[in-house]
Amino acid sequence: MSGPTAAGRAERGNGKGRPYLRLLLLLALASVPFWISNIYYLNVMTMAGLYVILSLGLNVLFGYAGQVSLGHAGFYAVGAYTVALLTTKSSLPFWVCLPLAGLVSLLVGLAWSVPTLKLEGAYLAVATIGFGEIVRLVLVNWEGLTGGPMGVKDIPRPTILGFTMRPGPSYYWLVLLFAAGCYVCARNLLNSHVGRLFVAVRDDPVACLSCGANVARLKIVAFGISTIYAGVAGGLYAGLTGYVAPTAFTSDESISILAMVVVGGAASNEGAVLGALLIAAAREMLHGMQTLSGLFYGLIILLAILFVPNGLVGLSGDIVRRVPLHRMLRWRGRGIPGAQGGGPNGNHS
Amino acid sequence: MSELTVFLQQLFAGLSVGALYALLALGYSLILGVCKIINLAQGDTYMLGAYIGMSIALCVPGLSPLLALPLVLIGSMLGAAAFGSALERLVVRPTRLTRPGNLLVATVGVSIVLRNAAMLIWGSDARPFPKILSLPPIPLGGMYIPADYLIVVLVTLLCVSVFSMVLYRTKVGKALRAVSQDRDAAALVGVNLSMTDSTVFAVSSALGAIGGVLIGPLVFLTPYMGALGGLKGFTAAVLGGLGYLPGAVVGGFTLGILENLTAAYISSQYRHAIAFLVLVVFLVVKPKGIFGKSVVVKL
Repeated sequence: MSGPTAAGRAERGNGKGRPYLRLLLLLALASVPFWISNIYYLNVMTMAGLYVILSLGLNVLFGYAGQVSLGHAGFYAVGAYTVALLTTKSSLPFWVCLPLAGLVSLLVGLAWSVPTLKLEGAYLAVATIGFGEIVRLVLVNWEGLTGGPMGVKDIPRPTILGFTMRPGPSYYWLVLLFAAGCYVCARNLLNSHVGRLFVAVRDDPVACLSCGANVARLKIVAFGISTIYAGVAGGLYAGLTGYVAPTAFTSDESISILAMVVVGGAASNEGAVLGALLIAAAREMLHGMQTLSGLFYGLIILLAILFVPNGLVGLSGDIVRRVPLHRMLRWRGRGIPGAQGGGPNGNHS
Repeated sequence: MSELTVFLQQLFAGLSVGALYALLALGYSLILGVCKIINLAQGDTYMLGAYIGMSIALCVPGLSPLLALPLVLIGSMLGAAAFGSALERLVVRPTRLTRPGNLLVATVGVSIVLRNAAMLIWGSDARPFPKILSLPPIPLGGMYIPADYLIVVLVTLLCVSVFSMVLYRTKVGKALRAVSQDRDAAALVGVNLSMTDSTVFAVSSALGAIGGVLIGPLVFLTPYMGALGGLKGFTAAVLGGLGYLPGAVVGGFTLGILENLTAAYISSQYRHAIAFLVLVVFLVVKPKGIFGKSVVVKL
């Protein structure tokens, strides 16, 4: 049972120590527009920032609370369409619509998940597959509201003090700011007692319940947080592209968000960020190879779970544990090479 | 056509598609009962079975139907069973003891790989399943029922009875039932858990493949056909009580009939939505299914 202990180690160290390193990284990322002038690559980076927000949100749910959502693109879509429809049809400013996107996504998520979260984890997973499909069907079929397959066009871009944020450096900085804020929020939340309760719910719901924690409520809180993240990311997406259509929110999208969390290392915010950046980069390289990209996501999820079950962030800890330094030292010290297998702690990795 | 004729025809159509849901639901329930896992790649065994069956049928054109049908059926069952035990051996077993939730995600990964591999092998276009045998529609009290529907239902019932004979009359079946009651206790009295797990995955995949070969001739084959089928099969399993095998069969046929009656009397657009509705309503109101026998744990 190496998983939970290794995960525990990753969680304890999560986001603590070396704050200057993180600040430096943020500054380095903020300086990207100064040395990449190509708008296309900046937009790819901006999208990667949105994926960071999405995967940070799903990490709260999957990595910490241990519940699987296979329809997160549905909440992403709810956020995007909330902003798209409110800004085009009621001319509310973007900055009012963005919080509303998070709120609507939260409400829809709660309405869908509260019944299933009382049951074991797998039921939520199946219910969220259904959710993702229903959202997509509604977007395609309810043409009066959502514009059907054509989507919603001409979404106004956000403005600050009369300055309009367009795709390019300004929107990149905006998304970077949001992603950094989301990272800090997630880190603070998960380092608090709530984060520890999430882990307890994931590792042993029965023990957690018997200690007096409200397991169902904790799952609902985790789910709610992840839907808010998805909704905000969706809202930012609508402002970025100025156009939303159902094709952006397929089940492949849900799977790729999950792949980001799994590859980077569930239960680690750094892992979620790393996974999002890696998958976004890989997706860019696979651009144009439609049939291969699905196979790629499936294989990457499978290989990550089989060979690096604690993700890339957990990998460094795994390597340290698997190289039996302490045994080598003991062998040198005592000089009895045959006496290791039988002891009570002889074979614990 | 009279009102009754329409109703009966929808009933038979529902029974035939319900047979598929019953087979898939049996697979879900069996794996959940014995291994305590939900295998989200279960729906894709139906797709795999249908494609393997199609390939075999294309290899042996002109063979007499009495020979071709068992050949196609057994060939695709063997293919799917090999896939199922490989899935258990290579993915499920190494993942079991890692972080909770990983296993579920791993089965999602398998299902995506399988769909895309099928797309690479057989192409992404919808393909017809070659007709193996063509019988005239059977007259029944002033109306005609396509013979395909009857064959689907009969073969399914046959397979289910063989399956339950194995489960309740043989030593392997006894081992499976023992493991589903208490894994640790069964292991203590000498049941080989890795053998039962492997068997269960192989059998569940073979059941899905039967569904694929039977329903294949009635629909077009696409690599993504397993997604919807899998969701409906899961709904059927919840309807009958997850982990309760007779419930899975009843749930499958019930869902099939319900779906076809909805399409006939309410709206054909809501045909697929009814399954989601049933799923959510049952998860909220009666998570233990219509018979109240289920291994669902509520926290």
